Amino acid sequence: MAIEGKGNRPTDEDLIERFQNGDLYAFDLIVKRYKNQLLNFIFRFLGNTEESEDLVQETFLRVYRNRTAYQKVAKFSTWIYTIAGNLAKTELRKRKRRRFFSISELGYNEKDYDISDDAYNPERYVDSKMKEEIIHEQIIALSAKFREVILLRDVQQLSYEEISKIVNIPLGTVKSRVNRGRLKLQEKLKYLLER
Amino acid sequence: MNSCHQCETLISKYIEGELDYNSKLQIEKHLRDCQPCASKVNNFKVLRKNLGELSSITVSADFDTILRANIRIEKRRERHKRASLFYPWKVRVPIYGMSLALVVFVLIMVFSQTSNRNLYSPQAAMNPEWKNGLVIQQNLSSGAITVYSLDRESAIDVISQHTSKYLDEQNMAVATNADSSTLAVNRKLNNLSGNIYQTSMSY
Repeated sequence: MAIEGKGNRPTDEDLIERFQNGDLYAFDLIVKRYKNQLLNFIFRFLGNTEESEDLVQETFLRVYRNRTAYQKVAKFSTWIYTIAGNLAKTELRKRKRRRFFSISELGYNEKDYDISDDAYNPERYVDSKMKEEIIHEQIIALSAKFREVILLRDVQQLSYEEISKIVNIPLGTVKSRVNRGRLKLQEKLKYLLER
Repeated sequence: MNSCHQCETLISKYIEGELDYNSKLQIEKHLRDCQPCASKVNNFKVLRKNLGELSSITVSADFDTILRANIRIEKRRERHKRASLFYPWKVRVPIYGMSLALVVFVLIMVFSQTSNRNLYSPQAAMNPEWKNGLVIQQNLSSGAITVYSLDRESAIDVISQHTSKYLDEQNMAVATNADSSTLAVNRKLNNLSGNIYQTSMSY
C-alpha cells in the first residue's frame, strides 16, 4: 500500500495518482477538498455565483478528462487553480465581447454607464455584511491581472511561489503585482479601512 | 528611505516580514516621519485581515449530482473515443493498405475490360465480314493475325490452320515447339468480350 501524507490524510498528489490509476473514490475526495475553495476563488473573480459554480463543474471535468496530463513534479493545487483561473479569465473575455455587442446595439448613452462614486458613500455601510459587499465590489472593480493575484494571495492564502506557477509569471512580478493591487484596493477602501 | 514612492513599493514586503534588517530599519524610520505612509501600512494590514476573513460561499446542494452526471457523459464520450481507436495504427495501416490495393486492383480490372471492349469489339462488329461470324485480320507490317469469332472452336481452327500447330482447346493455351512469343492466344477476350472470341498470332 502506498505511503500517504501526514496521519491518515492522503495528500492531493497521492489522490491524483490514485485517480490516475483508476480509483474514482480518490477523484471524489479531490472534489470534496476543492469544490468550495474553487467556488470562492472564481466567485470573487467573476462576481456571479451561478456562473462560478458552472466553472467549478467545468474545472473538475477538465481534471477528469486530462488526469493523465498531470505530472507529480508540480503541486496539484497549482494545477487545479491554473485550470480554474484560465476558465475564469476566458469567461471574462466572453463577457467583454458580450458587453461590447450589447453596447453597440444600444448605442452610447453616457447616463447608462456613468457609475457614480457616491454609490460608495461610507456612511451608508455600517455592518460587516455591507463592508464585505463593498470589499467584494472593489475586488471585482480591479483589473483582472491584479484581481487574480490578490485573490490567490490574500483570500486563498497561497504562497508567492504557487501564484507564480499558476499565473505563469516570474516571482518578482507576482510580488510587485500583489503590492500594486493592494495599493489600489486600499486607496479605494481607505474610508472603510480607517474607520 | 528617501521617498514615499520607495516606501510604497516595499509595504507588502515589510508587512509580510520579507525585508532584510537594514531595509526594515529604513522603512520604520520613514514611517515615523511620514504619516500618510504610516497610514497606508496600517491600511494594508487591515485590508489583508479583511480579505482573509471574507465569508466563504458553498456549492449548491445538487453540485455533486450534476458533476456525477457530467462525469457519466464524459465516460461515455471516452468509451466512444476508445472504441473508434480500437485497432492500433500497427493494425489499421496494413488493413487500410490492403483495402486500398484491392480498390486499385478492381479499378485496373474494370479499366482493362473497358479498354479491351473499346479496342476489339466495335472493331470486329464494324467489319463487313462479321455477319459470317468470323473475322480474320492481318497486320501487314508485322504479319500478326487476329481472329474474332462468335464461337471458340472456329477461332482455334483458324489459328491452327494458319500455324499448323496444335492448340490445347481445354486450356486455350498454345502448345508449340516454336518460340511461344511468336504465337499468342489472347485468353482474356474469351471472358471480356462476351461471345466474341479472339485469338491472335504473329510470326
